[in-house]
Amino acid sequence: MRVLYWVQRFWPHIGGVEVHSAQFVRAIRERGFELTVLTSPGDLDLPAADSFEGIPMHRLRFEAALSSGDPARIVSVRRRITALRRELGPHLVHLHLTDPSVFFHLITRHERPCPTLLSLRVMLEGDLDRNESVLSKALSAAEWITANSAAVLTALHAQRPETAGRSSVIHNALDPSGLSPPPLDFSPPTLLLLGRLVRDKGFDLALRALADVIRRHPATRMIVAGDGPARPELESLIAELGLGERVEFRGWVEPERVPALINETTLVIMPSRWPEAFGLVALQAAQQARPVVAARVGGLPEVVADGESGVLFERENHAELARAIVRLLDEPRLATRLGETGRRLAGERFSWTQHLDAYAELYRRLGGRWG
Amino acid sequence: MKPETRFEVNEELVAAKVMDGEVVIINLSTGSYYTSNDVAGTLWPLIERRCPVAAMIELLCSHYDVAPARAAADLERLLHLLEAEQIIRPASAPASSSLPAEGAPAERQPYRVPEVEVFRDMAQLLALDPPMPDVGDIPWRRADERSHD
Repeated sequence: MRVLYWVQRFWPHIGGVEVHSAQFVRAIRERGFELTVLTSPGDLDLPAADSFEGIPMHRLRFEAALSSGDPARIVSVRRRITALRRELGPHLVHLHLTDPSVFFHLITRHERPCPTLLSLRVMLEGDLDRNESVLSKALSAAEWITANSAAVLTALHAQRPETAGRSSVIHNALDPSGLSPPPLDFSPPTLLLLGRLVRDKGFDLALRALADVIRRHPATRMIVAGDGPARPELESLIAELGLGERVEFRGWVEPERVPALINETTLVIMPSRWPEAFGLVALQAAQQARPVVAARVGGLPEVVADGESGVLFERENHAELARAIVRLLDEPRLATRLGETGRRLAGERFSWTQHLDAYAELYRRLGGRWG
Repeated sequence: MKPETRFEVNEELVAAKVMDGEVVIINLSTGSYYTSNDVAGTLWPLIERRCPVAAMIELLCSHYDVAPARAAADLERLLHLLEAEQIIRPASAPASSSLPAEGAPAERQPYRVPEVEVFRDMAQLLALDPPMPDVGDIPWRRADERSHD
């Protein structure tokens, strides 16, 4: 079965989605699917025709064409996609919502028509029932929609109830790192914040909580890994709270080094304000047997089992966050048990094999009808 | 709509390109994108030349298997939409003397209602690019930024 796998960025770009996509196409090919990757070079100078471990890749400058305001460039990209569809004759197109190039799928889908699988990895907001929206059209045109958490699926159904009969959850998954988790170290306790430094991640709430925690556990330190526009505000807050050298900024961390970073820590904190679609960091923390203290938002309660693999607290409530941290630092055996349970649940609920099985079954069901 | 009614492209606001028989239009002031089917694509050069409605109906009937009354009704709907979207406006200059070179086909083609499809939220989508919101789960930067480290 021939599958056109359409993704905004792909290798050699490095990031959460890119790493997942590279692992995914490699593994799904081993299950007998013939994949072709269609992606964008982004800002890099990369060849238009390439291959990734023997999988053909085509790179088109989707975003540049769309943002140019030049219809000729749009027509040029459309022509190349039309030619690719004719040449490839896919049995299934698998693409991801919120990628602007979905526009090109919509305007070329009548060429060699075949079923579309749309993967949704964000909480949908805005005016989605307006039928002139690209996102709305893409949802209407998809034979099947997958959401990476029940929270994302629920948000979709609230906005577009008619998708209920053609949508399902396939949770995100990650291969375990292969790096064994060391026992939790409480000397000193080390808390980890990992993610883009933007206000919606709520890292400022964790800093305020840290100011409370150190009254009871004075040696507690915090690592902030990631980069982003909120860093100056966080640095000001650290100074204002007198946290000084307790907080260490590590900057951007390569995805493959994240498990080792998590291993350095005692607890992982996810104080997000926005409804996280899934919360991959919580899964990575669980795989490394680290308990997670997370805000009760979006898909996080699906990844962090409250009282089993971590503790949930109310969004924006840094006092409650501080109490949860203190409790786990007060009770190392409890923290260790939560971490170990989290590692077991990660294997049971978010295994890479289950993730691939679910997609392979969908591929066969959707593409098989056509082929 | 009277047979002599003429429109012109609102060139200050609109960029358009016909290729492979279809037209892609961008309203630069609203950020809306439009794509047409082949029948509307056939009409676009006449709109660009400020041809009267009668000429467009004649073209539809000579190229496609459609009766004049049906062609007129469908054309009126299309022109109203394009005018409402500020893509065209009533013509302020005479029709261009140069008519499309391509003549009617030997055999009339199957007819489809001339349509344009509207895409309104491209600007918002492009603003998400990249990172997509979920990419933030792993510290993310553009590859070109990393190369400056």
